[in-house]
Amino acid sequence: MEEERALIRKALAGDQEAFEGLVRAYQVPVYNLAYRMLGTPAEAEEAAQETFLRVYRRLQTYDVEQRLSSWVLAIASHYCVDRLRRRRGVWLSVDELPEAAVAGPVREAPEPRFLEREKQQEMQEMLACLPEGYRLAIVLRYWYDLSYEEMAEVTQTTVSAVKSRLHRAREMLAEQMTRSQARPASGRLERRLAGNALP
Amino acid sequence: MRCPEFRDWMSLKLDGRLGPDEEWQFTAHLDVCPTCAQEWRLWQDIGDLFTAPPMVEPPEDLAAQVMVRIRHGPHRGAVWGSLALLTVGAAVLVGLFILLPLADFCALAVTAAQSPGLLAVVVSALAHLLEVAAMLAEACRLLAWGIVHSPSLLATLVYLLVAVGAMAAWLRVAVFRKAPLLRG
Repeated sequence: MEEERALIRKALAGDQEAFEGLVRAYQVPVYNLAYRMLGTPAEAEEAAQETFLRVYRRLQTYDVEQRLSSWVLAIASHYCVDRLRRRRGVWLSVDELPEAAVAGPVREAPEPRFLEREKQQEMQEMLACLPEGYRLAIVLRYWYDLSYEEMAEVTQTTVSAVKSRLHRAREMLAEQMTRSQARPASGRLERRLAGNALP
Repeated sequence: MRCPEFRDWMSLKLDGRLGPDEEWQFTAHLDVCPTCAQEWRLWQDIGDLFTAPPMVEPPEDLAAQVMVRIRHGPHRGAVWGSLALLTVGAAVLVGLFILLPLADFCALAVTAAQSPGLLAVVVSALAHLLEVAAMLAEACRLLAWGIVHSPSLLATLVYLLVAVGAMAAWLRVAVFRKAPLLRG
C-alpha cells in the first residue's frame, strides 16, 4: 500500500515510469474485467489500454482517500458498459463467440485443461446473455470478490442497487441453466461428452 | 417464511449476508418446501460454476503499449487549441455555406418566377444544394479527423488554413458553375 502511494505521488509529479509501475500493478484485474465484459481478447486489450489512458488523464482528480483499485476498476467498468451499450442491437450469437476467446493462458489451473476450457466457455456464454449492468455485478462479485459496499463504490450506485442487480443477474443465469438442462443434447459440453462416450 | 421471501434471500445467502436468525429461517424453509429446495440447488450450481473463476493473462506488451500511447498522444493544450480553431473554421464554413447559396437562391427565385418550368428548377436547385451539403460534410469530417490526429498545434493551424481556403475556393467554383444553367 505504501509502495502504491509512493508510485501515485511520483506519477502525479509527472514521473511516467512510476505510472508504468501502476499500469503493471493493475493490468491483470483491468484486463480481466474488460475480457469478461466484452468477451474477446482484442476488445479487452483495447479497453484496458483506453482505461489506463483515462487513468493517466484523470490522475490529478484522484482522491487519495479512495482506494486506487476501486477508482481504476470504476473507470474500466464505465468504459466497458458504454462500449456494450454502443453495440447493443448487434448481439453476438453465443455460437459466434470465438474459440480463441477462451484460448488465452490461464493462471493457476490445477484442473485438466479440457475441463477448464469448457468451464470458461460455459461461463463466458452465460455472461454474454446478461445485460451489461447485471454482467458487471457478477464479474465484480466473483472475479474480484468485492463486498456490496465496494461494488457500490466501483459502480457509483447504492448497496441496494448492487443487491438488486446481483439478484436479478442470478435469476437470469438460473433461467439459462434451466433451459440448457432441458436441452441435454444441445449444450456444447454435452455434445462433446456424447461424442467422446465409449460404445 | 413464505416462498417469495425465501427467493429474495437466496442471493444474500450465496453472499453470506444473512444474519443468524435469517439463516435459521432459510434452512427451516428448505426442509419444508421442495420447490424452493430445487430452486436453491440450481442457484448453488450457479455459485459453484462461478466460484474461483480463473484470471487470464493480459498481453505481455500491454503496459508498453499504454506508455507508447501516453508518450505520443496529443497534449491537453494542443487538443483545446485544436478545438478552438475547429470552432472558428466551422463558423467560417457555415457562413460561406449560408451566404453563397443564398445569393444563388435569390437569382433562382427570380428565374423561377419568370420560367414556366418551376418544378424542374426547384428540383434542380435542391439536388444542387444536397450535392454541396454532402461534399461539405465530407470535407468537415476530414478536417476534424486531421485536427484531432495532428501531432502539433502548428500543423493543426496550417492544415486548417489550407482546408478553409480550399473549401472556400471550391464552393465559389461549385456554386457559380451551376449558376449559368439556372440563369439560362
